[in-house]
Amino acid sequence: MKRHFIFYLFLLTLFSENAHGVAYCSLRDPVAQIAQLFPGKTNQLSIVKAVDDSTRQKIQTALPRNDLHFSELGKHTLYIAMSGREPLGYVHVRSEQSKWGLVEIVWAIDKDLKIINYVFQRCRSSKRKFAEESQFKSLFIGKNYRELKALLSSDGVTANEAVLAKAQDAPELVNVVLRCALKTLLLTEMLWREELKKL
Amino acid sequence: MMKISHYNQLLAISTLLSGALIFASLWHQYQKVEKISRAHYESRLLVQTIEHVFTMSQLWLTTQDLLFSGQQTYLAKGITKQSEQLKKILINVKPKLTNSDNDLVQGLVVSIIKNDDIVNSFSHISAQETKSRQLTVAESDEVTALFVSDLEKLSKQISSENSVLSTQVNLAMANFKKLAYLVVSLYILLILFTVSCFSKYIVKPIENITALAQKPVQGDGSLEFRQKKAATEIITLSGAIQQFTEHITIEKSRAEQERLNVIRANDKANIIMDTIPCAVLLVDEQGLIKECNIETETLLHSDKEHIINSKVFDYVPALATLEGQFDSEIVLSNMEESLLSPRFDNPHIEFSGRKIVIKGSVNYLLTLSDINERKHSQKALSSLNEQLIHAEKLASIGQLSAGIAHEINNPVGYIRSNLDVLDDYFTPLMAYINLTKSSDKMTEAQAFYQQEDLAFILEDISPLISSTLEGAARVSKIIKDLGNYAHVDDKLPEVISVDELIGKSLTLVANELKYKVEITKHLEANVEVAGFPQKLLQVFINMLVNASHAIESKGRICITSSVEAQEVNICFEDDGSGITQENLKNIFDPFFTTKPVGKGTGLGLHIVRSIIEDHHGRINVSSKVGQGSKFDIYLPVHCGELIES
Repeated sequence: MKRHFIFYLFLLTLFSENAHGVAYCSLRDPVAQIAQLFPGKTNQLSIVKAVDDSTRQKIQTALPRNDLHFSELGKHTLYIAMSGREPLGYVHVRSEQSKWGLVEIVWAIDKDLKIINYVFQRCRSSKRKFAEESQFKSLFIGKNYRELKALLSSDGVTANEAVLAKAQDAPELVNVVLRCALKTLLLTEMLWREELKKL
Repeated sequence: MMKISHYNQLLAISTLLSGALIFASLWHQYQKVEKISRAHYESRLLVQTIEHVFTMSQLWLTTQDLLFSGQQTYLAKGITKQSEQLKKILINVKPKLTNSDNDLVQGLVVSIIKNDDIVNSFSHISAQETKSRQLTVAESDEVTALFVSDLEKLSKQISSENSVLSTQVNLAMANFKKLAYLVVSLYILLILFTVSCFSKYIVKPIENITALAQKPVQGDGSLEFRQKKAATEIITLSGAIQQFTEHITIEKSRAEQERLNVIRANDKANIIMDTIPCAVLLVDEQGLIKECNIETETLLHSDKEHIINSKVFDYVPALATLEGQFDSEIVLSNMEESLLSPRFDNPHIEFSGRKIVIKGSVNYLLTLSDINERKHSQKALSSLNEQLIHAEKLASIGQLSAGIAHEINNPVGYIRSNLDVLDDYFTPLMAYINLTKSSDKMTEAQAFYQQEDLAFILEDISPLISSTLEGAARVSKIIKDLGNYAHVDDKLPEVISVDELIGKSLTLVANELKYKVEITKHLEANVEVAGFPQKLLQVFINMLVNASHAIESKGRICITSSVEAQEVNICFEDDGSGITQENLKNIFDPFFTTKPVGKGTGLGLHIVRSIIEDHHGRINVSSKVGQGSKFDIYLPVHCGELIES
């Protein structure tokens, strides 16, 4: 038990600078959004991992038409919302290109790598409010990677008819959110699986 | 019903009008569609432009986001250029938009300008001024969010307008198609209707007429060509054809009737030709026999095959000229007696001919009648007539015999008396002659001469002999005349002096006339005629006896002879009882007599006329009861024909 604790402290020591310093892959510090998504968090951890070509290749294999952009390579930060020493969940900020420019979504993920919630850090779409409603969010919340992938249509980049029917007013936005969610969960599992197991 | 020309005009006009209507309506509708399509095209271009703006905006915003996230300030210049491009495009599309859209575009341009200012200000904020940067980014996000919102509104409005136009285009196209289908359908219906009318009122009636015309004739051959539902010309034409066929039918019936009539007439003619009791031949101009009947075969003892195309004058030589050609003049004789060629046993024929023209060719219709039997009859009749005449002559001789005997008896009486005297004179004369034979008895002779008054005897002998001779001559003449009268004429005529013959007749009837009739003669003809003297003598005796009989007690008979033209006129005129007009008509009939039974034969005048006609003469009679009768006999002077015949 002491060994574990010491290891965690080591990790925290190792990444604390990052957590409070540069928020890689995110424009702005998502601290406020982490608090919004995990109101019960007392502190947070950040684990920085580098997204390289091999990762990108794996992502491309898993999501052939929804691969990572070149600009997404490099260091990325996964935030762990903590309640004391207890991890409440993970926060992954990911940007997705849309017709409104980049849409930046702060994803709240539980320990089973299911979507808990999300908030937009940037979204210029006029449907942003609609996408922030619980009915829209319910399309994603509680779903893991496989369940979300099942929402894709045959083209692999857009939502299926059932999903689009539930988001009639914002079909483009639901596609963007779905693509972003899939990459977020897949990347989280691929890059941070080992570290998260150790928590 | 209309004329075909009207149908043509109707078709042309309807086709023209309907075509013009179709074209006009389609053109009008096409113009609408074109107008809407053009608007729709421009709208689509606008939509594409807006989509292009969206794409550019996407790049513009992404670049901006990269600037904000990567803090790579060199991107700011590119963002400014993109902003310029966006503004330029938006300004260019402004004239094509509505006012509300223009407001949105104006808002977009303003947002771009604002954002440009923010981006420029962001470039000048140092990396350490995190809060200031984040505020700037938040301000930019607000401006760009508004930009996106306005752009989406603009896009939505333009898309909506495009949708409306698209709907209008589709509607216009649909309407155009409907109209096209409608007018084309109407046009087709019109064409079908017109064609149907054409077919019903022109083609079909013509087909009916053609089918009827080609239909085999059945029954009485009556067909109904009249078409009731057809163009006027076809109705008229069918009526004309009907009339024509009816006319043909009538003419056919008439022709058939005429054919039957011809057959009947032909049969009748054939029957007539075959039963007609004379040979009938049709001869051409060369005298070739072209047709003949059965009787011809019988007459000419040959069959038809041999007769046809043989020369008619081979059978009837009289029909040939001296040159041996067909005599086309003699053939036109009427009931001309002739003879067949010598090879025929019964050669007597009688022919008549007529000229006929058949199909422009001159032909001769010749009839040949077998008159051999008639000839035999004529001969027999002639013989009988001769016998009758002879009998009549004998009868008249019988009647005249007493008178003739009386006439003979007178000269015979004084001849006998003269001979008695002469016989008385003979004895003394013989005695005187004997005395004178011896010279010695001369004196005695002289004495005897004186004694017997021989001088007177010698002087009386000569008148006695003369008287006797005259009496003998007179008897001789009477007997000769009677003998001539009783004698049957030679078969050949003789040249006769009419006046002499009248004298002979007077001799024979002298005793009949001399006691009650005064004969006056004016015989001035002094010409000769050819004839049979006994027959003419019989005529004259008959005339004189009849005249004598007409005179009851005393009367006068005047006999004259004269020449009038080429005829000798012998006139016997009496002043006897005359003949009634009623009897005048019958006096020349045989066996007609007004005399008591047994007193007359009734053949006298009949024979008179018969004899005169045999001499090619004629006899006229005129009579008045109580005044007498006059018979004029005319005989041709020296009748050559009679001699020839």
